[in-house]
Amino acid sequence: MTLVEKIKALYPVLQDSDFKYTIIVQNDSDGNGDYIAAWNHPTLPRLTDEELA
Amino acid sequence: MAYLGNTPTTQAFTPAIDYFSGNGSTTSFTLSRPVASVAQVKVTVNNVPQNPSTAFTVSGNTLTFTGTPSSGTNNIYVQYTSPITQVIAPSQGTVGTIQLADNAITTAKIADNSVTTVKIAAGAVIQADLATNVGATGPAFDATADGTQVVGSGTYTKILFPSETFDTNNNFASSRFTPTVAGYYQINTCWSISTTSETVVAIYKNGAIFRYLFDLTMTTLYTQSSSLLMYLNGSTDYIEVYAYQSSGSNKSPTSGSYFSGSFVRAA
Repeated sequence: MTLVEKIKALYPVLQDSDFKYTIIVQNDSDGNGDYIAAWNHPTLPRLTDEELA
Repeated sequence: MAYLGNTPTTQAFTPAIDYFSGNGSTTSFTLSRPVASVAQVKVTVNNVPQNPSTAFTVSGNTLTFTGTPSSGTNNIYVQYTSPITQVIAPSQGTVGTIQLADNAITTAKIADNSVTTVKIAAGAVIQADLATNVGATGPAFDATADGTQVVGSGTYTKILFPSETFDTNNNFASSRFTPTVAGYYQINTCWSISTTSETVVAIYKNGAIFRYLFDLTMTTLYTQSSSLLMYLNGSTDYIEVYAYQSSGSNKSPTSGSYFSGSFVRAA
């Protein structure tokens, strides 16, 4: 399961479009995988690493 | 014994005569002494005195006739008439600008590759002084994707451009452009991917989004190029291309995707 899929599973209300400009999941192609680079959702709190583990 | 007035100058002068044999073709002859002007020699050819204003010239040790002396043995002779037969050259480092007439220095007097930039006033070189093939020599690069990278759905992924077409200043490495010359750069990128989903391509500067280039819903294999002008400080600033797609599955940008840039203006 990708990081985006995990976030969607925890917040089913999120749509694909939310990951364009509101929640930025990023991969620097350096072998370290995906991470949350920005979380600007107006109501949903940013998920912690523990919640995403 | 003391003198009244200026002390006379004592000079030694040894009279001398040079003889030359004409051959009907030679016009230049080498004198045994250098002379500074035609007034310092008396030239005779076939026992006929030569007019110094029209018949010959002198330069150092060279006597040159304007005509061609006829053949004969020792039929040309030169009598030295002045004790001052040395060409007087100024001492090194003694000629000042006041000895030079305005506009007297010609191009031939300036050694090749000797004029440095500090001799040119700032802002003095105008476009008309440049050859038509002169362009900026700042960094430029171009690199393409290889079609194998996987871009996950919903994730901004740094696009890899492993195939360099050129990298004039060795400023492109690991799909990152870090120019070592400060200034304004035109940056171009083309995104080519086979998907029917929405895609976004952005230029990242120093690890953060600098500008979104486009946000499009693709239709099958789609190619979209875009460019921007941006400032880079020539030391720590770097840029990368990131892309997003929302197809719900992994996608790979094709080898038609590229990342290029060129220095266009100094800071």
